[in-house]
Amino acid sequence: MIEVTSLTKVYGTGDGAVTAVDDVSLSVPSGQVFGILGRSGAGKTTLMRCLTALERPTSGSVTIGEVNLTELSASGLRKARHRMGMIFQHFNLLGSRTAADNIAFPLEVQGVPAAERRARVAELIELVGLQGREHAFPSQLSGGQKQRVGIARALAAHPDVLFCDEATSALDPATTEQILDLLKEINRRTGVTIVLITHESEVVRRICDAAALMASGRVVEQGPLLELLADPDSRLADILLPVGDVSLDPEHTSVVLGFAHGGTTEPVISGLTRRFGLDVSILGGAVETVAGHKVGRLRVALTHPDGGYDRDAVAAYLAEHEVSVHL
Amino acid sequence: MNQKTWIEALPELLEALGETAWMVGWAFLIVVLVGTAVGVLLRLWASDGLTPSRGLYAVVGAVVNIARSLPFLILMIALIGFTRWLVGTAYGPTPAIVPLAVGAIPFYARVVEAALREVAPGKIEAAQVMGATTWDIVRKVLLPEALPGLVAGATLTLVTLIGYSTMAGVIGGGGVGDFAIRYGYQRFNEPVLLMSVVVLIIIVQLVQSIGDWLVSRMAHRRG
Repeated sequence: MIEVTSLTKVYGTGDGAVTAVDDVSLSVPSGQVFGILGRSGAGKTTLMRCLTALERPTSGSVTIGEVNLTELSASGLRKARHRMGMIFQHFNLLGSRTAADNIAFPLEVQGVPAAERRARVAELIELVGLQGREHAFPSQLSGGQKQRVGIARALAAHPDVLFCDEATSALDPATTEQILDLLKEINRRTGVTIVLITHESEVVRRICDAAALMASGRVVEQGPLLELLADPDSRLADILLPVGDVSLDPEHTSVVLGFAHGGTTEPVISGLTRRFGLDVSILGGAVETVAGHKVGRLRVALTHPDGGYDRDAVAAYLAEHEVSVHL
Repeated sequence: MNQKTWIEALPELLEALGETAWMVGWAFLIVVLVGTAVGVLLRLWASDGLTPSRGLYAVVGAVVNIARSLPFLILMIALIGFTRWLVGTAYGPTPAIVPLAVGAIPFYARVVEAALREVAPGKIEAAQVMGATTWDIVRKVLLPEALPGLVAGATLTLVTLIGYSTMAGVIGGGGVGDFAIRYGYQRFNEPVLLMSVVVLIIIVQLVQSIGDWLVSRMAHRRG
C-alpha cells in the first residue's frame, strides 16, 4: 500500500518559485497497477521522483508499506529502496555491462552471493523472454529488448513496488503492447504493485486497475478505472474513451452514457425508444475492453417528439441496466 | 672532436630509454591513481554531484588550476626542495618522478572529472533507486561507464609525461632528454640527436596507437 499525503514540491523561492506538485494525495492498494496520466509539465515526473525519494518534497509525506520515506536517514532510505524497482523511458542500462550483469546489479548492491545472483539472473532472463541474449551489451539490443533488461533488473531483488517512468514512450506501438502485456503478466504472477506515469492514454487503458489524472501539479481525479470510466462526468474517462465534444450538439440535448459492466447498450437504447418514446441519436462513442471488462461511453442526443420527457423515469431505467448518466 | 657514431651511442641511448621508462612508468602509475581519486572527488563535490560541497570543490579546484597554470620547467625547479626532502636527492631518474607526478596529477584529475561528467545522470539515478551507496556508484557506475574517456585521457597524459620527462633531463634527471642534450646540444652530434628524436617519435606513436586501440575496442562493444 502506497500512501501519498498532501505532497507538495516547490522549486526555487520567491517570485521564481514553481510549484511542480501541488497538494497531491494518492492511495495505491497493494498488487494494483496504478497509472498516473498527464501531459508533460503536469508534474508527474516530479511526483514520481518524490515517490522514489530522488527528490525531497517541500511538504507532505510518502509512505510505502509501513515506511515513511520522508523521515528516513540516508542508510534507511537505501534499505527502503531495496524494496523498490524502477524502469525508465531511456532504460538507463549500464553500457559497460552485459544484459545479465545489468540485471545482477541490484543484487550486487545488496550483497547477494555470486551463485545466488547467477541463479536469479537466469530466472529473470526467462521471465522477460531474453534467452540467448544474456551476454549481449545494451548497444546490441533493440529498444524492446533493452526495456526487458530494465524490467528484469528492476525485479531482480523481489521488490514490493515497481515504478515505471514513461517506460514505453521511447518504443514503437507493437513493442509498447508487448512490454505492457509483460508488465501486466508480471503483476499477475508476482503480485508486485506497479505505479506508472505516462502521457499515453493507451497505457492506462491497457493495463491499469486504477488511475489518477494530473494537471498543473494537481491530481484532478483518481479511482478504480472501471468506476471512472462509468462516470459520465469523468475527465479521465473522456481522455481514455473520448465521445466527441458538445459542439456536435448545438441544441444541448446530449448526455453521456457510461457503462462498464459487461452488458451491451443496444437493448437499453431500443428500450429508451420503446418505453419512453424517445428519439436516440448517437453522436459519438467508444467501446473498449479494459481490465477484462467491456466498457463504453456514448454521447447521445435524447429528444421526445412532444418536447419533454420524464427524466427521473429514464434515469431510473438506465440505472437499473447499470448505465450511468447525468440527465 | 671525436664524435661517436649512432651505433656506438646506441647502448647509452638504451640506458637513457630505460631511465625514461622508469621515471615515466612510476609517474604514470601515481598520476592515474591519485588523479583518478582527485577527479572522482571533484565530480562528487561539484554542485551537480552526488555529495555537493561548494567549499571543498572550490579549494581543490583552485589548487588544481594553480598547478596546471605553471609551466612544467618552473614547477620542476620550484619543487626541488620538496623532492630533496622526499627522496633525499634532487638529481637522477627517481627524484624526477616527483615533479612529473605533481605536474600531471592536476591535468589527469580534470580529465577524469570531465569524463565522469559525461555519464548520463539517469544511470546514476537508476543506481540510487536500487539502493546503491555513493561508493557503489563510483565503483560500479561512474568509473566503468566512463572507462573509454578515462583510457583516452590516460593515453594523452602518458604522452605528455614522456614530453615532460625530457625536460627533467635539463636539470639532471637522466633519460632520453638528458641524452639528447649531451649529444645534440653539448657535442653537436646531429646523427645521434636525430636517432633519439626518431626513437621518441616511435614511442609516442606506439603509446597513442595502443591507447586508441583500447578505446575503440571498448567503444565497439558498447556502441
